[in-house]
Amino acid sequence: MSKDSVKLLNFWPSMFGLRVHYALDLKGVSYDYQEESLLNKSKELLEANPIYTKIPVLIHNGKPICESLVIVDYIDSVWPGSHKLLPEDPYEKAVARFWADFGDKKLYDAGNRLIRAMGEEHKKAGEDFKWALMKIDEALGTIAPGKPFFGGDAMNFADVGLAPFICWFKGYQKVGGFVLPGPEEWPNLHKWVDAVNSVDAIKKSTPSPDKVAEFAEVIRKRVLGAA
Amino acid sequence: MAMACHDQDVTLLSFWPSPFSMRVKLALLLKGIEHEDLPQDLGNKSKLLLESNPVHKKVPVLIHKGKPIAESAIIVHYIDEVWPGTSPLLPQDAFLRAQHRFWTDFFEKKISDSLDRFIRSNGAAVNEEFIQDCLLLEGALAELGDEEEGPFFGGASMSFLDVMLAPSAVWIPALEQVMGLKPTSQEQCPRLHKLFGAVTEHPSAKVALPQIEKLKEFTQARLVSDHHVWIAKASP
Repeated sequence: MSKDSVKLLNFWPSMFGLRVHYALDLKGVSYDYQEESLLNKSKELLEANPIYTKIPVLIHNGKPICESLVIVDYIDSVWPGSHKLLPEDPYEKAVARFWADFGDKKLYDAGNRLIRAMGEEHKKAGEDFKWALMKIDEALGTIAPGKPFFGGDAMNFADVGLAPFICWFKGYQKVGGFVLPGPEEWPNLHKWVDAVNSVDAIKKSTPSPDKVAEFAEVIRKRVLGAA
Repeated sequence: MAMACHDQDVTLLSFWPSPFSMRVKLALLLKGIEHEDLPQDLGNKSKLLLESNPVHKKVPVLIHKGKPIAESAIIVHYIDEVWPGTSPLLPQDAFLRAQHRFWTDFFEKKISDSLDRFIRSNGAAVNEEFIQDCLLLEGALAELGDEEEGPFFGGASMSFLDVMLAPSAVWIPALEQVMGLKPTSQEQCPRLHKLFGAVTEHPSAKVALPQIEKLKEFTQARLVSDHHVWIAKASP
């Protein structure tokens, strides 16, 4: 019986890499980790992801899989026995996929603009970011009322897709110059954040929000300096 | 959520020029799924559309037994899961499935994005990028599609990735003829050309995809109008 070889190429602040960490850790899959320097990418990364030369990349038994949600989907197929991430019901599956995708389309997009945009665009990015979190708060109330996660009592594909942004909240607020509404305004979101942060598998790989905020501010300074 | 006004099992909220809408239509036709097609006016969005897709307010939306599903790739996944018997789209193998999803995402991030920017810049930008990205897609087809079995990524029959790419078989020629988009040559991308040729000959695609002439008229009209009801803004 040969052992699976599983390796994650990542850069520690990446919320996309964190999705892969979460999927593997929730399922208790053992894996090797390789930290990549984005200014000095390893030969292995360049060969594993020649199209984008980006992290994260999962290398499973020598075969590379790229793009975080594609990787998480793959992980759920290959290790279905433990902590299933995608629901069995096709409609619930579609809903879970939708909200993970929302993380890319709306949350990441706004967050990225908070780091890189100027003036009016920067202000709009802050509003868009808050709108996205408000939608997540609403969705939690509709999809899993009274439960801590999109997946109900346990994290599912949607939770894994969105949770990595939590450790970035502090950083986004700092570069955006705003404070996120509290639990009175967004009760579901805050309950979800607390629930995610209390999961052992999540604690394993999540970088400290202070470190991430420091990183975000460094990038922001660089962007402002170049402007 | 009750979509009370329509008692048909499957309803598609569509917009005929939208490549994303075309994908879903194609998937439904490939699988022989009876459905009601409700074309949407994107300049004056219907209550049904806004209720079915309150987050993005875009087409396509599939409503099945009253429950709405949005985002074309997600809808096609859903269709494949609910109606697996006829014309299965996603491969059985997990790694191959990941490749289909990766290249769908590549198409969206790179090719679709390039075409969108080409249109918005009135033909000024990104043609070279577009060609490079098509070359990468040609490489993917060489790797994933068995030429002996057929022209598609799925061999003799259309698979998930073929459905995702199919609308380009009509959109690229339309943009070429109206806006001077320079596509790849047959020498550069022989298999991609064969794939798009096979798409336009496919009986389901002939119904799901609009005629190139209609798309040309649509593009021409948008070039001269002030409306910002453009494809990329209209649907994900």
